[in-house]
Amino acid sequence: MPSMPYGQMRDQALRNRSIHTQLMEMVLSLRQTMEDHIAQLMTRHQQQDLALEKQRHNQAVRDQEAFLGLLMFQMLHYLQSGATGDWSFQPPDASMDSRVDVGGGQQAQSSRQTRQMFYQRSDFEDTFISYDLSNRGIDISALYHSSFQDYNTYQGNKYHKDKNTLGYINLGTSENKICIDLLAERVVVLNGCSSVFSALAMVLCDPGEAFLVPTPSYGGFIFRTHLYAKVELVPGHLESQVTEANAYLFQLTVDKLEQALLGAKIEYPQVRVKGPLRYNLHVIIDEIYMLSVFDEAIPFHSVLSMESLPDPNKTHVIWGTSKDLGISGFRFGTLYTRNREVASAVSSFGYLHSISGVTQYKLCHLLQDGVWPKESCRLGKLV
Amino acid sequence: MFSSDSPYLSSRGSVIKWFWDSAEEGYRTYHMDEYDEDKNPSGIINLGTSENKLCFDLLSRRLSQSDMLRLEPSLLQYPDWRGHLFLREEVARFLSFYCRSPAPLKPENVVVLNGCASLFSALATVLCEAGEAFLIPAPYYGAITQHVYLYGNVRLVCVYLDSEVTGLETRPFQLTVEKLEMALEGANSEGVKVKGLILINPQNPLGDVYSPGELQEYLEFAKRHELHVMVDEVYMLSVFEESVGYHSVLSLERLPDPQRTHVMWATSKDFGMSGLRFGTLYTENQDVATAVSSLCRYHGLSGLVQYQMAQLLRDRDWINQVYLPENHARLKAAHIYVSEELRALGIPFLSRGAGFFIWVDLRKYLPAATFEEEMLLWRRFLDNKVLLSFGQAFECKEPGWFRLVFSDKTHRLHLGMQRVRRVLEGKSQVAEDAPSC
Repeated sequence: MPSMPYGQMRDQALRNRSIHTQLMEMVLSLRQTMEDHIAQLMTRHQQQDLALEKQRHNQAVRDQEAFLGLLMFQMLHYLQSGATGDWSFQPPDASMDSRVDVGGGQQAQSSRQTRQMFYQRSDFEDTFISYDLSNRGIDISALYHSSFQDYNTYQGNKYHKDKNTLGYINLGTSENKICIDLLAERVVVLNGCSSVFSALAMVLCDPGEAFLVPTPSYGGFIFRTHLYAKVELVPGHLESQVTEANAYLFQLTVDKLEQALLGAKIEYPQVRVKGPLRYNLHVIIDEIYMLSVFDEAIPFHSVLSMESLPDPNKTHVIWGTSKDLGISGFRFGTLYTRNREVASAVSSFGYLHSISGVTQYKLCHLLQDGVWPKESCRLGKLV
Repeated sequence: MFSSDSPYLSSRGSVIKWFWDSAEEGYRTYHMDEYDEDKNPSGIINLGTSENKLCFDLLSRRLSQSDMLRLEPSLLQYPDWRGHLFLREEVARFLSFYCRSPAPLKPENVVVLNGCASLFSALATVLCEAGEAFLIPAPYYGAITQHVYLYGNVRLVCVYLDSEVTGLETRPFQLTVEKLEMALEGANSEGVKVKGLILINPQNPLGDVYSPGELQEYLEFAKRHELHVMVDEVYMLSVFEESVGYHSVLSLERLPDPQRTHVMWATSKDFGMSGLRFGTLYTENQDVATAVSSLCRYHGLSGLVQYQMAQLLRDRDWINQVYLPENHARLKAAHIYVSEELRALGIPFLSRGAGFFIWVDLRKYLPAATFEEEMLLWRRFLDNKVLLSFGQAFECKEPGWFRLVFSDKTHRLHLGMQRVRRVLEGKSQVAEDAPSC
């Protein structure tokens, strides 16, 4: 007797085959429609006089484009619906070309709209129709495509002062490129802070749970917590106005954190939020820029410099060399935590986020050679 | 199944911590008491970890040469997560040559990252939903269980192989298409969705090498069932017996399903640098390559390592005239030494002329054919300061098989085998009724 999961899986398999069959039917229908249109255009050309025909021809071309756009859009929508199980599909309206007599402006606008919708989708076309990837593999690909288009374009066409003077100059990626010639961590060492975040998200949260994060914040957090670990981020919005509640722009206060936490419980009732300590939550402090405070008037205090922590077993500090030493390509990040269970669990990922022995050795020497804090004043001169 | 509940960790965090606490016991014991000729002569000899320790002299000389020390800004900055182009081009050329591909392989089909463990993790995540599975012939290198589970939450369905040669088989533990079909059917009937098949060629722990005909059969099987095939060829240059005749899957004239064939390789074994962390994926499937690249931000390679690897792989003269001949000669000599010791002890074993290990049959030394007895024997070896790998760690369904690694210096092998002999001769007095070999 097949068990429930097998039955459900079989139905899903049948639906999948049904998607393929119906997709084929749709593609064939599309081809037939295109052929019909072209045949109609040719017939019209033969039947009408020349001047009027030219006007109608241009209009018909616009119609055809809009119509094709609509078909493509619906095909992609259909594929997406198929993934979610919503099967409402309306075949394209075959009488659309009867709208050729409607005012040209309106027509042009509707064709522009369908084209827009089509182009929005076209960026994800490849991943949406991948039959090889799992659903989460598709999500991972889509996120990568949509988020790194600009970065990948930049990578393929970088500025070079001799070889590529027309290439992209990158003022978007946060890297310290002026301290290249400069060059102890506590419990766990991994190949980058992204990896430390990812591993922490895995061991502190179950899938679907969340971290609270004051925003605006580094956009890459969503990758660190979501791609592998499937942990959500609940934003704690900070304001750009100085008000009674804010002494300065984008000030983070406990009230705002509490507000965000309570808001999260209402908006995401199924999500357990892990954040500040009064509510028995873990705190992750990313001090990756701690040595890049170039204005001497600004005092920076690491959380590790505090006399006593409210809950040392739930305080986890992250640092890496990517920003402070300007070596983001080196791939080195560390976690400091007094919580041995968290440290052991994160160490399980040591193999997947490993650092080469050679890198570890070089970094050891670099860190021992502790001259570099003064050199960060170079950053100050640029501001 | 797992339990070490912690008030600080999530449920999956507790499972993950369990892996750390329990799975590494033998190696932690070893690392606390490692043998050293001068500082710790009574320490533990490691014949359990599959690493090639025979060629450090050749490697250190090559890696210290000045062409390895170049530094450019791009190497210290955020890279294309797929890997620097100069390295992927080199990998494509390298694999084309050593895998003897019929046509040159393409850099755009290459992804590099920090080791094959990471590759297993990424492939599991992008090919499968949580809870889905891969088929894998057992015995197999047990750590793969963790690699696909930790992040990917993918399980492995074992295709159990037998030591007994039956029917049309020609050797023990032979993988056949019938066994694959049976395992797949078994999984389906339990409601487990199988998405792929993992092949390790040369095989670990058996040292088996699949013929082109066999490879073709397994790939056809996978195609019939629309399964992805991940072929781990991490030992492809460690075939020290020339008569074995190794064929990479990339050497086949025609792959049955190129879009679902993904090949893995790393420098860890073939170049004896498992600590350097460098692995590569070759696949014609751009969806898979892109999705894996997306995860490569968590498995990033240092720019310096990328540069060094490119330099190493490019140096065909050194590889073909210095490294490979010497490496194979040393592996062969070590293998002969340990085989002769085993024969002198009357211990049966499998040997295929590839890899760093021998699959040893110690069943007659178990008073009862149980995994508890196997574990007791393993502990006795450890107590006598020699570390082997027990068969259950490889999901071998027959108790009593052990993997013995021989790719180490002669004096350590000598000491290790002495200790093995001591334990077994003590043991064999107990199991008086066991059949002689």
